[in-house]
Amino acid sequence: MIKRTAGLWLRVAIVKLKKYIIAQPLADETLSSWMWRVNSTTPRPVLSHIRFSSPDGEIVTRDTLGIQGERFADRDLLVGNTFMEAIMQTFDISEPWLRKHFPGFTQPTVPCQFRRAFCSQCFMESYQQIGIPVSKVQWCYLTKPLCELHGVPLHDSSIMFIAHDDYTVQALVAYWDDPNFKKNCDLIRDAGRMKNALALKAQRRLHNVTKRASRSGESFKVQMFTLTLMRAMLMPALHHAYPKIAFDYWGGTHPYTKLGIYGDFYQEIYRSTCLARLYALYYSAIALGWVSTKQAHSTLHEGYFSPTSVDQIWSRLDKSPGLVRLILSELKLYETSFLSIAGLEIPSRIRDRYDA
Amino acid sequence: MHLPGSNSFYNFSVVLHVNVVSWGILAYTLRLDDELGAVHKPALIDESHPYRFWLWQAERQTFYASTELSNVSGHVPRLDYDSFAPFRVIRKLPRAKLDSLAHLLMKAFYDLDASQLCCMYNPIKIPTNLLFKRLDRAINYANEVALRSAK
Repeated sequence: MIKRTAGLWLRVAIVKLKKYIIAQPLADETLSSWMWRVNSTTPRPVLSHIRFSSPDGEIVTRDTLGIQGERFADRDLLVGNTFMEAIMQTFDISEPWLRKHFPGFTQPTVPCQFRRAFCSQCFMESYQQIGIPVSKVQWCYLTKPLCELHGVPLHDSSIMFIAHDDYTVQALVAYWDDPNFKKNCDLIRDAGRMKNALALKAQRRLHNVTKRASRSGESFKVQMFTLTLMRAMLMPALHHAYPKIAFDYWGGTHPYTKLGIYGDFYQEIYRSTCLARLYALYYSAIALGWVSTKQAHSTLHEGYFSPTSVDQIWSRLDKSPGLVRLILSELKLYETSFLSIAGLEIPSRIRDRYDA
Repeated sequence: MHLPGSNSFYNFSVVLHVNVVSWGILAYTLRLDDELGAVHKPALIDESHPYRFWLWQAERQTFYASTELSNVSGHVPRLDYDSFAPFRVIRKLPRAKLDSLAHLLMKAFYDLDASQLCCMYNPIKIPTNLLFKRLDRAINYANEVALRSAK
């Protein structure tokens, strides 16, 4: 009898211990980052076991899967995530708990095969606090090229998210272990301080507008309106205004490919570098009137050929045939009371020509 | 395009069969052709000649015949106005409608969100099944809009 009671107590204690061991997700932490942290606490890591124990006894590489066109599940989302069932069983976690802590993305995101943004300061801080780096959801958002907490531009890791289950750890190691990479990241961060500051201002303003629009269910439209402007600013017509390094290490195996006006406009932003998106956001802020011509003039020492006024931006865009028509037709789809074409300071000659 | 066991290549042509009264797309055929090496853009419509797909549809037989003839003679086929006789017919089609159709097709073909793009590892190498999906999507979108505007 005593033995049976002791056994029962032991089982209860193990269950309690199990629940205690599960690391709580940190604020804004991604699902994949948390999964790896939890996974590391078990004697037999769940993720590696699933990854390397295919029934045929061979490891199917992700490259092969990708070229075959099979679907890549986004490890930062609960839907279609191959690891979720094993994680839930092993750690005795319920689905509602997961859905509550990892509700998914609320803004347009970088597709998982091109995801590689990180903030080195956030990495360092989480490493110091809990002994393992942590990735944040905000780094996945296309309209957030700067760290909200530290106000500095995000970097592009030399490690791709899709290629590693322990991406966060790999990204920190790759950053820390390569002195040249680290030095380059710091140089990029320091090179355009004025533009970075103005882009951060724009990012915060967009965050506030999105928050207000979410009350009336229009936050997606606000995000897409800004994203459309960013897509326009990333077109080759304005490439002279970007530092060359912004187009280095473009996602995928090819650099900016010039697929034609539609391919460039819709798709290139997905694999762009953080620096390119930062500049695109900055120029979008000029187009939206969030950055004044006087403020833009004060950044000229950081890039002499940068456009500083709305007029310059639209004149450049108008030189590409069909581009302004495409931009306006897209913007029309995402108009709200918060952001609209009428609110943009488009030069009257362009407004008249395109009936905007 | 990426076909298993072969090198990737970027050229394909889509021939559309369109009802020019309702502006609905009835059918399409996909043509992969290594010979058309001069065009390096995966586009449905060549931007330098926006009406080309109409020309191909209007005079498809002649086009295929001329291509075959050129292949036999070793001459690389040139896709310009000389290859297509009924250019005058094309000019009668309303430009605004053509532009709108082209815009809808191109938008739906390229405007994929992140979750749809997740299917692709590399946008340059489009697997065949994915290309068909995207073409179907583009044509369905254009047809939906045409149907809505007809009502």
